[in-house]
Amino acid sequence: MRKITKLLCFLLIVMMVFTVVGCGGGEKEPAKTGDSQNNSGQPSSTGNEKIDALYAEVANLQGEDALKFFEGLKDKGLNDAEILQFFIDLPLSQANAQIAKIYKDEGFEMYGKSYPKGETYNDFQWSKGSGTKITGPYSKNDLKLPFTDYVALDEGTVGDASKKYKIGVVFHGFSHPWLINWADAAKWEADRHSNVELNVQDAEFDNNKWASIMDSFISQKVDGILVWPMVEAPTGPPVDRALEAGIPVVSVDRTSGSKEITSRITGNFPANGAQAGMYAIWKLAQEGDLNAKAVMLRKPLGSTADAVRTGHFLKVLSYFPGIEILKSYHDTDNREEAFTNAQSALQAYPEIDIFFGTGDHEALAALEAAKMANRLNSRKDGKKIMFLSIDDSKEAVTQVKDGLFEVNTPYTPLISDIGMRVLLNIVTKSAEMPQDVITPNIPMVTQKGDVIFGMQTQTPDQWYEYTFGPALK
Amino acid sequence: MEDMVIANEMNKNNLRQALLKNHTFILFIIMACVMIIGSIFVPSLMQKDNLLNVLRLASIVGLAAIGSTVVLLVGEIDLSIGSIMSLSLVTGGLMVGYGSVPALTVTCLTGIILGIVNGVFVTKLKINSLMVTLGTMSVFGGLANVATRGQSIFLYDSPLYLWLGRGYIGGIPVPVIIFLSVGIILSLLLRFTKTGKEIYFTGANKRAAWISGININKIKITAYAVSGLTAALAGPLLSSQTNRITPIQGVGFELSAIAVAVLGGTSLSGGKGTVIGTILGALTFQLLLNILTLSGVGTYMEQVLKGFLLIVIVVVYQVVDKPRG
Repeated sequence: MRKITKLLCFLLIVMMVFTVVGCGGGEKEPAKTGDSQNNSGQPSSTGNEKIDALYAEVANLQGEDALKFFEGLKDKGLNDAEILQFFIDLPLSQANAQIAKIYKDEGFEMYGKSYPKGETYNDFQWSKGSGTKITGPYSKNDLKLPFTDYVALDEGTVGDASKKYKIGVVFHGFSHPWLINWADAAKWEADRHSNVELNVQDAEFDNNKWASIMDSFISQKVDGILVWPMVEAPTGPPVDRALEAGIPVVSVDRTSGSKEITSRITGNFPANGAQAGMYAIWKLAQEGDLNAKAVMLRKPLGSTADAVRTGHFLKVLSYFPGIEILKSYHDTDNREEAFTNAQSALQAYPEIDIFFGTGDHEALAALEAAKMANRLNSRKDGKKIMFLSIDDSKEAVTQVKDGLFEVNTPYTPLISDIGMRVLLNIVTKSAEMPQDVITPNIPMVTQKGDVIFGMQTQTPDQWYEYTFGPALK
Repeated sequence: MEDMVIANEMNKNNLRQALLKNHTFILFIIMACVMIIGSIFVPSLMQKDNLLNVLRLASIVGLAAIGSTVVLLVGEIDLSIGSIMSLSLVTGGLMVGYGSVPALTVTCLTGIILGIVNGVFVTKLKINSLMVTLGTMSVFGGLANVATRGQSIFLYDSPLYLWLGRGYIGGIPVPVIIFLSVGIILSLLLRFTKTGKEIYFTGANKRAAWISGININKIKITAYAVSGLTAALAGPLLSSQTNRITPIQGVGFELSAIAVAVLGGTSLSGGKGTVIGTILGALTFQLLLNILTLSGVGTYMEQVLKGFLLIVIVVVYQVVDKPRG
């Protein structure tokens, strides 16, 4: 009996301690206003005098003043691409102490700095309507690859027409809608070249399996390897082993832990976060109140997509002391988990103005949770909760069209064809390829194609053909 | 008079001993403590909407756990619950275009068939159930991916299907009604029918059950069929909450289901456990998760505490079960 009592007491004490710790750690102090001392988390100079002068000017602004400054960017001579770049490189402000603290505590500066930046290859500019319609070889989805003119490669044989080029592809996720479309784009490109022999392997979200597939490609002496590394650290050594064996390796989307990797094609994570921040501020200004409470539903802690997107989102918000981040919830890229997190947030916080999701799973989960809790229009004066979504699945973009999501900032899996072309150019020695191939930024999607701080957005119908995943109906 | 006092005291002591040996009673006490302490530190815990959410989520994992309980009662294990959920979901999901009723019927039938497949492998091929269901977990999970090519099936145009996971009857969430109905029916069947008693006998002592004329194979196949059905039933309740069916929706569910069954007092060695215990286990499990989420300890710390608390509760059971010398 004593033992039982002791154990029960122990259990209760443990629960009490953790609950108390949890309650204390869950809330963050709201921002103190009035601290106008700005502190850049970015390099002090961008190399562009015009932009540097603008950063110096905005440094001491906050709230309404910062808003007016942002609204005047077009008049200061910036075009759409420059406006977006301005927000991407915008230094962190100390005006919102809570946001500045989150930014510092989570090390977002480091993630932002290490993410590849620069100009597109040969100054490529993407234009609406360009690209190629395909049926996904694996998914059978109707897709349109937006960047088939980028690092363009003619159909037919590549390099030495009499030689078969063996290309290995290792990724995770024939069971994942985003990743299966990633594989679709890579295979489509390879299939255009009759002397390319493709071997696509799914590591099923197991980094050890990923490494063993890489080793098997090395032993098969393939001519080149295209990879989607889930995380950085464990994927570095297998890439290095391939490079030591003289096999070029190209990564697409996430980066591997290898610094020597032959080439890496990266997407627009920084733009995604900055665009979501821009939209939130613009929308609040339209509503006439720059005070708001936001919940962030996020991807796994430490993933590049989560850190870079959240960091760039917070940088824009940091100029506005009236914004409070109620809480961050992480999931494991699982919509059911995100749904539970959103339900908890709705339960814990009676006032939520904004749900920011670092992926489409998170925003879609928040929408369903808000609907189920009858909280969709629960803001002051019956206004609708704002849902800021990233990743342009057909499902997410349809929500923008239906007016349920305020914005979608596209991030497409349909960039692996670029990786395949880069790899084939390297393998066949047809062209010199840079280590970093930057993917063009994509305009955000709003229901009516609004102009946000002078920057033209696109409507769901304009972007829909480029979206990924199956259609809703 | 003195004799009556002594007899009353002895009865009281016996009752106290019996209660302290009863896992369901202990779990009830633990759940009550969790609720009281949780409501002190997390005020939103006891709000009506939150409690309804807890009940709704407990119903989903609880349904799967009820099936797991029946399999554990016959002394076997089912690691393929999550994959059965995924495969039956997508099989039914492929019928969604024909309406919610055909889709849900196919889902349930698929669950039963997959459960029977497990049972037949375990009994006829005499392979250890851990290995069989480990294998079928992979086979069923893979088939779910093959059937959908890894794609989601959306439920936006299936109001009846969505109602199962989101609807209310008399203010009570539909999943809760389904969960409690299945739980009560199975509890009565286990307690008052011949087959129910044979399930307990088989798990408690296989050889003795066989000698006494019980068709052990039939009993085991029945247990797996029940497990398949409850896993399949839990699937639509889960998928309707997020408006879509995916081939990986059930991944990891088997562990939660087994954990809840054990939490509810079901023995891993068979013959001991109740469906009522599993229902309480599901409620306690979900309540703990809810407190951890609301208190803001973070997703990763939640995983640590969830496992830790599970171990603590199982240790409590072991202590009370230990014979006193």
